[in-house]
Amino acid sequence: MKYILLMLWVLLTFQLSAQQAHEDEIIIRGKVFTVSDEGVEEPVPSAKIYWKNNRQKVTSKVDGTFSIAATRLPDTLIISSVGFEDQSYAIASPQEESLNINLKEGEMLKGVEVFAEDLGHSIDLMNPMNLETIGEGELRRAACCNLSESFETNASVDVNITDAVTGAKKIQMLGLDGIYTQLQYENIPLVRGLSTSYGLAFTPGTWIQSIQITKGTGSVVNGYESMAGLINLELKKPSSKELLYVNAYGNRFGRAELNIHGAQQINDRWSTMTFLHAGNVFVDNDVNNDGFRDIPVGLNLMGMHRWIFEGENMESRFGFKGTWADKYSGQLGTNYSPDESGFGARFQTQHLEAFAKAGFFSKNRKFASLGLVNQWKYHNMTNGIGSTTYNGTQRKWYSNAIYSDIIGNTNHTYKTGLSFIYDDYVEAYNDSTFLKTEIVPGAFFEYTYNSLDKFILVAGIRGDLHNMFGPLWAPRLHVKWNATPKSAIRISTGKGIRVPNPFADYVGNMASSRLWVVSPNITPEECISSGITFTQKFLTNENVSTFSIDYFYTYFLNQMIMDMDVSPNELHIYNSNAESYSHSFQAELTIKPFKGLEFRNAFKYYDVRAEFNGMLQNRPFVPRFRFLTSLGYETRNKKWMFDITGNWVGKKRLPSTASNPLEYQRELESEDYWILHSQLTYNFKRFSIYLGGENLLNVMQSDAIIAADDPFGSFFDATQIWAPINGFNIYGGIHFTIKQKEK
Amino acid sequence: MKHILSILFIVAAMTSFGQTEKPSKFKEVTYDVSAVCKMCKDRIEKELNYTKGVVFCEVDLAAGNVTVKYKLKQITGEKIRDILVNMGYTTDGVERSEEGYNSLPQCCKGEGCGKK
Repeated sequence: MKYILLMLWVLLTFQLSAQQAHEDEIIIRGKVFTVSDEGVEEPVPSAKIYWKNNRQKVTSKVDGTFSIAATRLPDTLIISSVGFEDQSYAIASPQEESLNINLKEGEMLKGVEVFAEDLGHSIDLMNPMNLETIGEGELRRAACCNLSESFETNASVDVNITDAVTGAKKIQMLGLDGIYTQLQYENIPLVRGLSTSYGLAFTPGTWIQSIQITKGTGSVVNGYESMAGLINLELKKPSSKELLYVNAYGNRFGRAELNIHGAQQINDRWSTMTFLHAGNVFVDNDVNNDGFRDIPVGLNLMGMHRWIFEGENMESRFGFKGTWADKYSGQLGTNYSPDESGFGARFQTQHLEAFAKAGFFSKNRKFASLGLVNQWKYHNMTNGIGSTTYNGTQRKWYSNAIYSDIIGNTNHTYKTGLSFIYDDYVEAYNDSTFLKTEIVPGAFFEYTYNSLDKFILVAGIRGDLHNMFGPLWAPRLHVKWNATPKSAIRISTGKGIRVPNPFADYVGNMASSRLWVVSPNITPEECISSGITFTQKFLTNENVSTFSIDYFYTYFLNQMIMDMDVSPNELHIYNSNAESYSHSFQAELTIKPFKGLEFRNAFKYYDVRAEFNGMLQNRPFVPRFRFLTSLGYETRNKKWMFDITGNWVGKKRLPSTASNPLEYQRELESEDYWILHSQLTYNFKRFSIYLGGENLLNVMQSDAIIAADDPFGSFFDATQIWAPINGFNIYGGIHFTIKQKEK
Repeated sequence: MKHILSILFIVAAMTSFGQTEKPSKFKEVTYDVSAVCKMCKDRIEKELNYTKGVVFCEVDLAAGNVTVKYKLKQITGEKIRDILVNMGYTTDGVERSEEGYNSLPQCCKGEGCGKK
């Protein structure tokens, strides 16, 4: 592999230098300046210099100087800068002397227009938090299917399968379980409480317009819960002009999905959007021949309808969202009926929520605004896994009011507000019933100091009064500094708190005969997460390339430990103040050697440890090393898109199975493996088709389920999953869009 | 390693050699176009990229131009310019067609994008 990468690298650099050598034959140098009212010569930085008949374009440096290559002469050199009149110079032959270009201030300022390109994947240099954005372009690179699969080409978020029965996928950030990442859509909580384990599957990928990822703690405005990270989704808006959008998808495992969205612009102020999703797995799959379905079969229905109002001093978004799912898994031929002898499993979910957001802008105070967020949620799930049953109902009301204004001038701004959470849980695990009602009023204040966007400091604190656990305090600090216009250094530190739900957080782990020993006194988890990030952007042939490097250290003051190391027949859940930490290091390089090609490499190192079975050891199922390499190419006419992504996952520690009978024992460490994904898309004028493959090297964990032949015996365990269990996948699909008539 | 490098060298040499030999069949032209916004860019690229004979079309809004590579046998540079003119854009000094301009969305007419 090393050699292939090296070859690719050499090839790229060689091509680049070859191209440069070819074009650098004639170079025109010059300086752009203007004469101020006082008669002083002042350089004009960032002026655009380009040829009339050539695509070459450069910008002047801070001292106004520039150099531009000419491929063919004669040509006309044009110099333009906002606020100045354009200048053009006819250049017939190579120039020895440097050009002196005197720009005259334009009588009328040209309107400043911002041309934003959908970069697909980008790391922002302005935001005080290290915000990584996955745009629509990037989301299209991997067409499948729901939120958990949207991170395939992203290095910051890892996705893992929890177990071989539910097939649920969980994310991981900083090497920590997805429960420590706060998920929200448009600043409304997305998965919280009972939906933690399966929630990711309940957001179809086609609904998503973009994803923002923040490592470490987020803003206090969003609550106390972001510990390892904060992920916010922006859903598609009616202004995307998609009158009707249809997506159909099918894969080799008999999974079929249909997505239909429609947007209506009713008048200048009102618009509405409807999303519908239906997904079904029709066929039983057992690629690894263990007698168990690799993927649950059954139907998934989701819908959302929302309204958007945009008035002069007010904006509002409201609507509702629903999910209905009924899936079967377990041994082939079972359908979870009481009289059958096989190991059946069934997962039913009903979810209904209503949300309303409103923003008010003051007429008199230009920078003051008030935002209100409300969410009402009902979530019900009925799970049967073999002889284990787990049912739960959650009723929730979430409310957040945010007032923001400036202090004196725009260098100093603040956000303050109140929040309220009412969370009512009824859970039943086998014969035991658990009731819990959380009532959490809270208040927060966040101050931002902004010095010309170059230096930004955000200091926030929030206090919440939990009815069960008393006051919870979460201070947070974020600092960003642009050392140069193309680089940013960010430092963040803060406290994150989370009230765990032992059963809901680890539903997937019920797919085993392990006896659950859950401590009756579960207390909130608390951690301090600090990190430093450095981002550098540079131009490669006019395209923005990015290098970023980050290090995060998360230290738990109190953590709910899910311990599988006590015994292979037991699973212990308890709170611990013992040492528990995560060191996470990531380096990422995204190069765009020429238009249309993007080449990304990321390396990650995790050192995540906690006390398991009374001993400080590596967290199980977390690899120490990971490597991601991804190549995306789009032809210049935008008709073809090709993408290939490789993920190398290093060895992971596995819980000991030494006391099991010999045939049920497993290694203490997993093997490392490569996962290769690829997708090809062709765009027609009105629709596009795609064909892709996942896990193309057909990596499969052998004997994934321990004691698959004796599922009701005491050694059965389908939760020791560290690699794919169903081999490669081939999928295809179609996107079809009717655009709204533009106004 | 030496072998790999020499192979790479040949590959690279061949590709750059290939590029210089082609221009008899293709032509790349840049037109100055009165495109103003992202919507114009999408419209023009969608239209020209799906026109027979066009290899690719790219709009550079900042520079206010359109670069089109096309097959000489299938389309002429004048025809491409006429398409742009008929869409409602003044191209290389040729006045836009009023009919095309009237059917442009407000945003592309320069009358403001979005609602306000």
